[in-house]
Amino acid sequence: MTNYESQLTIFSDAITDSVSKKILPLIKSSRSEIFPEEERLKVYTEGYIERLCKATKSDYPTLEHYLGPNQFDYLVNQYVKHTKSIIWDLNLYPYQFCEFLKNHIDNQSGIDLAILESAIAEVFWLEDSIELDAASLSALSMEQLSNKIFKPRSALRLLRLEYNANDYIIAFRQQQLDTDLIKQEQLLCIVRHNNEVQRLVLDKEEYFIINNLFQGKSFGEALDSATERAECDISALTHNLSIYITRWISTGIFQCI
Amino acid sequence: MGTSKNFPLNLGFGLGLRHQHYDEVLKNRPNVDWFEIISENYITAHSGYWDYLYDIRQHYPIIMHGVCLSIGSTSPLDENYLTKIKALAHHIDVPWISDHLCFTGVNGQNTHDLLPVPYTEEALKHIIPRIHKVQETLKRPFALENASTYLEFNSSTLTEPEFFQEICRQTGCGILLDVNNVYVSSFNHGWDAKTYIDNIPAEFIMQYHLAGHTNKTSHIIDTHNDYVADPVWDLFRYTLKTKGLRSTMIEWDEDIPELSVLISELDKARSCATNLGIAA
Repeated sequence: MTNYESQLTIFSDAITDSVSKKILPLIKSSRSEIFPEEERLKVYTEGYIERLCKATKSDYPTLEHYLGPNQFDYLVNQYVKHTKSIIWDLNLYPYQFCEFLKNHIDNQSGIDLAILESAIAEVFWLEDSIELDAASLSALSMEQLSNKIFKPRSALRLLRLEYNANDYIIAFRQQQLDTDLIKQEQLLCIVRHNNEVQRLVLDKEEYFIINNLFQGKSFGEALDSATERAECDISALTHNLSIYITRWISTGIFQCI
Repeated sequence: MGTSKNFPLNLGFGLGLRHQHYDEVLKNRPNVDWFEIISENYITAHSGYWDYLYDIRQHYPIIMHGVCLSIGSTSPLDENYLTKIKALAHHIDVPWISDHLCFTGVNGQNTHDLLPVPYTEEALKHIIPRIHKVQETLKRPFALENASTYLEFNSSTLTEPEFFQEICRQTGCGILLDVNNVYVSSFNHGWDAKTYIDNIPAEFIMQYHLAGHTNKTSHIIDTHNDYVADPVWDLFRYTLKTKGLRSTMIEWDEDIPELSVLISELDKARSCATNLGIAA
């Protein structure tokens, strides 16, 4: 390691690990009586923590309300303390917060809320992709449709949550602050279409088909596989299939390939 | 007073473009000569943001200013990042691109801050080839800004202006001279701000930045959340007098006010030049 590299590493480590022992002797001590070396370093160490905390908090406003500011701030601070940022894009830093929460809170409702808020933020920033349009589908024969592989849009997340986190977010955004999270499965497709993040609430059958499709199965295989599930209501699926397809196309969940 | 013959023309007086003001800018076309964007706010953003930029670009020149290049780092330059910068620069056809003379992290970690480097011959040998690489990739005029700093390395053998001079001389890169940062760093380190300006050759200056800061008495933090402070206006006038007019912009990144507030700050910058008889 060169002298230059060594000094940069010591400085960077002092910031990310809040360890000042090695860096202090490297700092020039001008105006040390009113702005000593420790205070100089503190501008960077405190700024680092503040920046990562702010980025994380901004992605989880509903979770903050749900957990309350004290517990939320504590968890965010712990996350920042234990999670180094490894990429230039600060928008990506908060994504792992919900994974962190899984090991730090015994509260599935809060975790589900974090998973949903994380997905909303992530989908906002994920890469663009071109949607599959209705015209390219209508040209297919039944056999071709059955064999077709549908690819999800790049900016999309499919979620299966134990709690009604989406209802809670809707209530929170409408300032209905007395709502509570209840244990009620929610199946969601979070997708960015026409530059807006949409949260599509799916019924079971719809979720099973999409999930199969996104695992790379053809449309025919996805349908067969969905109907084999004990929880699947085959008559509902048959009845709603054309409605599902219309909705999937209009909400742009498939990518043009 | 020198001129920067090799750099793009003086674009006049610009503002940092913030999303809060998009609609107003497009609707009212305010008296702003150009806009500067933070590159990283757009390079990974969805096409809606790019469309906005493209629309605004039809009426105003746009400059790209980055905060994540980390030119001083010993980690390899991020080629994927540079490719994205280049793509956006092409999309909105920017006259030049800038970032900071600093590093943001090493060994795969990022502090998301603009950290000073030691000003040594060893640092020059490391940074200069990296600037060449950036210039070869971007293929557009490129400038580095003096970051505000809160510490200096004992090992530095050059002053910051000397370090800049050497970089500009060896790479042809320009200086984005942030007058507020000169003031902030001078206050924090006990430098003389005017001497700093005196030691920056005019021919290397491509652009000026002005911004607000927060005075903590013992030191000043570069916060970009307030009006430009009076001593910074004084230093700006001194800079104009001794170095000449360049494309000048006001940065305001936190607690962002109404566009009209920013425009009145910009008018103040214009008056500095007009009163000195050096209007664009």
